[in-house]
Amino acid sequence: MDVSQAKQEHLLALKVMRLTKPTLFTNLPVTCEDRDLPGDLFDQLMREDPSTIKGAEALMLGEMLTLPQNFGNIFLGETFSSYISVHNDSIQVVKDILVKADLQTSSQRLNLSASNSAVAELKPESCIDDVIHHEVKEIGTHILVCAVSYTTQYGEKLYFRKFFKFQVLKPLDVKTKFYNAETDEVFLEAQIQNITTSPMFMEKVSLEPSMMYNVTELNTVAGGDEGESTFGKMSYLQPMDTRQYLYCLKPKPEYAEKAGVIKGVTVIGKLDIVWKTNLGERGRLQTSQLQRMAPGYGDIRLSLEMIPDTVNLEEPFDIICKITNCSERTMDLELEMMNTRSIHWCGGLQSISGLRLTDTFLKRTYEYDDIAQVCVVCPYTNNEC
Amino acid sequence: MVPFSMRLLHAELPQYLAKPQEALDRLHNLKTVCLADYVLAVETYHSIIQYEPQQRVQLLSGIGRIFLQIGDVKTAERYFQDVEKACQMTGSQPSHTTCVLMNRAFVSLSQNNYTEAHASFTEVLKIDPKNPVANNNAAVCLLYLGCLKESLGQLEGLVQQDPALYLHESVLFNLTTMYELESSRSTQKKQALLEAVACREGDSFNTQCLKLV
Repeated sequence: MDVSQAKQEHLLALKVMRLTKPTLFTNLPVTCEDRDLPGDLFDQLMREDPSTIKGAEALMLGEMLTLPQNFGNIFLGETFSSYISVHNDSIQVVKDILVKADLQTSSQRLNLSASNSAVAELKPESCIDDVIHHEVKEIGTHILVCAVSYTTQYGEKLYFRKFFKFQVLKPLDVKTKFYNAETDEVFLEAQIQNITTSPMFMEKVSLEPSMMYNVTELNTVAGGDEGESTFGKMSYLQPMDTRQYLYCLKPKPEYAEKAGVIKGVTVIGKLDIVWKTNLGERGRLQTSQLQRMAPGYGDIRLSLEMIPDTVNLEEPFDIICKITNCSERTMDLELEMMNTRSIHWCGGLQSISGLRLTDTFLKRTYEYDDIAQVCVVCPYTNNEC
Repeated sequence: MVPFSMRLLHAELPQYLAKPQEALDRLHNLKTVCLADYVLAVETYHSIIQYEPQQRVQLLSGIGRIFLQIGDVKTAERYFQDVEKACQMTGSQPSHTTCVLMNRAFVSLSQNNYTEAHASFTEVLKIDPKNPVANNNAAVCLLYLGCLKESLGQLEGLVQQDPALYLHESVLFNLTTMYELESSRSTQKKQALLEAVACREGDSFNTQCLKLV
């Protein structure tokens, strides 16, 4: 919507056109059987049509480019591109034309013009053209303010402004969930929903970890040079569709020692999302720093360094535990292993229990049961157990 | 206008009359623009290639364009590379060279490189000066490069030289859009176009492309 300020007739006219990418023209082919009355007529018409593909006239998605027909929607992270044209509608030569384009948001005013110098003169029917680009970084109302100042051939200095208002919408809905593993690893599940009106190709969704962590991305299936995406052939996200991305964060060795001691809120990292739509129209967003509440460990933390997934029945196996003093006092600890009842099974998940730590200073005992599960299998080939 | 369901019926009918090939040919037409299901469209194109190997180059290029429409430029480029390989195998025909150049132009477009895209379309015009798609597309690139006057001049010139070919819906859309950008007197120019069209086309012509209302 544009609101013109001028009450007087100006010699120059300013026009603005948003330059989204062009679209490929589609045909609707009409065909018939060879023996039908029209015969070859439809095929002939299609062959004569300049926008059909020669040799494959029935193909609908042609190669003819069509300019954007309306302003369309604009989303945070996209690039706003616009053609700005100042045309001399009069019959006189106009001098000293200065065209300025600013973008006004609720928080700031940005200058978008490519050049800030005046054009010496503009003959009748000629125009001054500029194409401006701006990566949109705020949601909400934006106003493109175009100001034109010029001097008539009689020396009169004139000035007018035009305002073009548009809304920037939110393109993605991002939800995050953290899962703590028995080791020091943290898993992040990022749920991303496309809340625009057209399909999106997700080019990159990566997690940039904070300095404490190393990250492993878990969204490709290993195999081949590149690895296939876990989403398979559906490489695009339809409007209102959601996808979950998974990442594993491991504290760096220099921070691993302290990992058990960290209390409260820690900064994990941020998500960097790049998407593309029609003919490579690009959008990019970064989330703010994602935070996680460290789970409360109490005074002592018992974590697992090494444990096998599967063990054989009636065979001893090793586990390595790490005990961290999370309190602010010194402790003197004794370790005791208690036998628990084990059910005579030929398999299944068994829980490791019975670890006891006693603080000899305070005479306090900490009990650790169900610290992990192992899968117990029968090593014998027949059902001898 | 034939209703869509009748088209669908018409497309499916041959398979019951033991002509599955024909049914497939017609079905691919319909499926393509209901591109809500791109995956299915691409698979359909692949099966068509097996039945119509002589259209391989055009069909592979078509699939590439589908991926460009979704925004998956990398996969589109892979298909265009397959097109180049297919062209090399069959020997150089001008139509194949044109195809490769057009595909290259679309990739440049997708990478925001309008200068390169314009250069590729111009290369096509060296081989085939009357190619209406290359002419139209080159003019469109000029607009994105900030050359409105030049772009308009090119399109208007084409319409005047060969109205039979260029008084086409897509070209007219582009012309009227540029008239609106150029000046406040676009209505007169659009009406002039309407008169030119009225002499040539029948009642079924889609006059909405002239944006007179």
